[in-house]
Amino acid sequence: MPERRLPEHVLARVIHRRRFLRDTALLTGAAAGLAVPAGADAASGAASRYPAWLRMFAQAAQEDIDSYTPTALTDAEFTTLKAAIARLIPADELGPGAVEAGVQIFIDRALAGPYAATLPLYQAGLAALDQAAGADGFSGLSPERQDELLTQAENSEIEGVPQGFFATLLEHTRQGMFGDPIYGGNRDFAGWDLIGFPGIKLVWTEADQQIDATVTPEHVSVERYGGTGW
Amino acid sequence: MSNPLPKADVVIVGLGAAGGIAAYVLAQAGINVVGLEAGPYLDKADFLARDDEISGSILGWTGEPKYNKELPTWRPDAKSPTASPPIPPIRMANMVGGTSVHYGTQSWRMRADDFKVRSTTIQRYGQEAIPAGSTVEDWPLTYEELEPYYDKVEYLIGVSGKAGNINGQIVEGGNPFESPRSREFPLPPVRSAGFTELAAEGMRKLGYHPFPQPAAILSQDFDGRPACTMCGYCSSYGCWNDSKSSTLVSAIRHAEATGKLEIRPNSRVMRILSNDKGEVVGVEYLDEQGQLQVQPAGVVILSTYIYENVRLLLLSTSTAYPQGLVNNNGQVGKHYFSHAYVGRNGLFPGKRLNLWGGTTGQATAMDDLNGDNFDHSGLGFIRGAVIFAGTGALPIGRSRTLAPGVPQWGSAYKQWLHENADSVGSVFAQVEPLPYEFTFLDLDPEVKDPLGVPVLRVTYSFGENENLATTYIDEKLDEMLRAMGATETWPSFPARTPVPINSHAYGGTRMGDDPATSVVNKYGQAHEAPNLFILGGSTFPTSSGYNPTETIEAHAWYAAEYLAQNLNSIAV
Repeated sequence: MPERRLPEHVLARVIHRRRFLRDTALLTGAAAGLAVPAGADAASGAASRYPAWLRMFAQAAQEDIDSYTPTALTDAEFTTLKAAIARLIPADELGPGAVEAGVQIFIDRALAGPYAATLPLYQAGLAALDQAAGADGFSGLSPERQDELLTQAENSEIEGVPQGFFATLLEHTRQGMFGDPIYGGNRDFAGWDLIGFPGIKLVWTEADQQIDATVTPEHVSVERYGGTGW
Repeated sequence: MSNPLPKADVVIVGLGAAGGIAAYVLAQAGINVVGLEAGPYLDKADFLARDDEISGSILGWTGEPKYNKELPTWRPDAKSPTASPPIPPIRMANMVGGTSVHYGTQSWRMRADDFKVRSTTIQRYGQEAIPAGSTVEDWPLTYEELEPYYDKVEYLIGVSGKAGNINGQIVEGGNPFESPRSREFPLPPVRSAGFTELAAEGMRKLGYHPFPQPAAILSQDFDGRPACTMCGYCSSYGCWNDSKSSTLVSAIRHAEATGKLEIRPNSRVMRILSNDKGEVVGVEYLDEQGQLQVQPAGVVILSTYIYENVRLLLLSTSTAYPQGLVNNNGQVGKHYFSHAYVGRNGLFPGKRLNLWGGTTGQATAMDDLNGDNFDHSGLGFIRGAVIFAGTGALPIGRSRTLAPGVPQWGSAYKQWLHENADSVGSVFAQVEPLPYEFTFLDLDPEVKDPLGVPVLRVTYSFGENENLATTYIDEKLDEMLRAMGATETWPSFPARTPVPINSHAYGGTRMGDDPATSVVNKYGQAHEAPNLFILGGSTFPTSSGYNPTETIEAHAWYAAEYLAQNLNSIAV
């Protein structure tokens, strides 16, 4: 059998985990470890049947949100971005907003990675927001005034805001807020807790799947299972 | 270019649903098979590390090796320039096991009348019921001929479900509309969830006949693989638990164990080679190191996906085939069509539906409005849709699923999501579309992939038949959600909107008896080159409302068995 090979872009990210699994001889035993006896509820006491190899992955340390240095955006653009997403998903009595959850880090990393083609859209859109805001820039405005400008951007009423900028910003803000924390947003599972998504939960019991059943948040990122993001 | 490699009995181009099953049947028959797969050879640890919505549902990492880089272009008709499709392209996977690794596991048999759309329509409604411009034809193959192969596939890969008709006897709890099967499913249906029970009640209230959707995912341990644990990362995701019955963990695993199948991953076929007599003699491919190799073979099986099947044929010109391989009759690329979808969300205020867990295979389905199971007199369209309501929701998707009038951002948005993100349940329909004279595939004259090879161009729009059918079904979905208790409903997938580039696409190398209107015969054997077999949805004359994979697999088995029994007379 030929050696199982991943393409380079995947290989670089998973080879370490795979070699680790092979070396510890756990991968080959995984199917047996996960097996659920025929006829039994796949769920009852499932945690005890989690294979040990799933639990070995420790969470990596998270970057400090306040000291993050943007790579795709300039510091000024990053400041404007933060001010905008803080209005799209604000901090309030329901919990952290986009900025507290690190969504700006997700967006900057994405613009330096898979969304690089979108960078000019951000550069133009953020500049247009600042331009429309006047001397103090968008971040210097009151929240009420920021909301007004964002509403105008949403309705394509600001000169210089490119077509699609607002919709892209909103979509990326949602991706950062509600996507896996491995990408830099959804810090401390703030987005998932807001909407009741329990995190990666590999086993859902029949009871968990009933209407109005209470499911305890597990706060598990794909990082625990060897994920490294895009 | 290197010297030609040793000749193989059979080379398979693309080890997905069709190629995986064909490899299994041929290897079991003792035939030496080389399987060339453009994508990598992965396993469940790789899939576990990708249980994340951004890399799976949004970036579509499974298509990164190839498909994402060569997406077909689209135009609505032959007079218009190419444009952005109304719905973004739906993803395919490039890897050993193909899209069966990341598919949603719905595993259906077509019904007897699904193979005879043209003749049964004319019989019941008259010639004028066939929409103008439609090139719809019956299959050259019947349900009765294919039934034993559906059975073999279900018992090889592991399909969970409840029979509704065994040898003509209606069985309680299954689909009363299904055509007779020779025995029960190998595995009981995937268990229900609170929401799928709610859906079944709503459908029954309206007089419909709901049943558990058949699924290629394990409801119990099977063939050394464990039962599904309902993790919720299913469609667009590889299974971390080997519970999904992809060909990767079933047919291909067993084929490789025979020692007769040599799998070469990361090997992209560039051309199918033919001689002056019009016979195919092998393929040219880029190996893992990027070296061009020639793999001679007595028989070539082309089983990539509809778009790449058609593209490779059109690119493989030769003295014998100046217009593309087996295209001297001008039929390659014709009779294209793409599954039509309609979906609707409903709000169930104050109810926590617990839809995050589950699998795409866990659903309540109904067939009352599918095929010709209802009277179409006066409706203005023919055929219908399979309808289902299932589990599995992911957080980014839910962050966009807002009832009409709900603010898109700000504290009010946050508040609404907090209260309702898990109170939205959906029903979904797959509507059977027809092929037309104006729907076809060809090479884009301008756009090329990163290797400089032209991509395919899709020319596709709905006919009025599809517009009326999707509108009609959409109204039924609204009634259903309200019968289930939804207080308001809104489209999750709008009517009258085609998906031009789809994971359920059909035609382009249609099967038929007449070489003037088809490319392959009922065995998938090319009319113009009998040692070339073409498998997959590209051969389908019609689609039915159902998901195609099990029919693709059953037909691949049927074709490969014919090839195995006649190899000596077919191979060159």
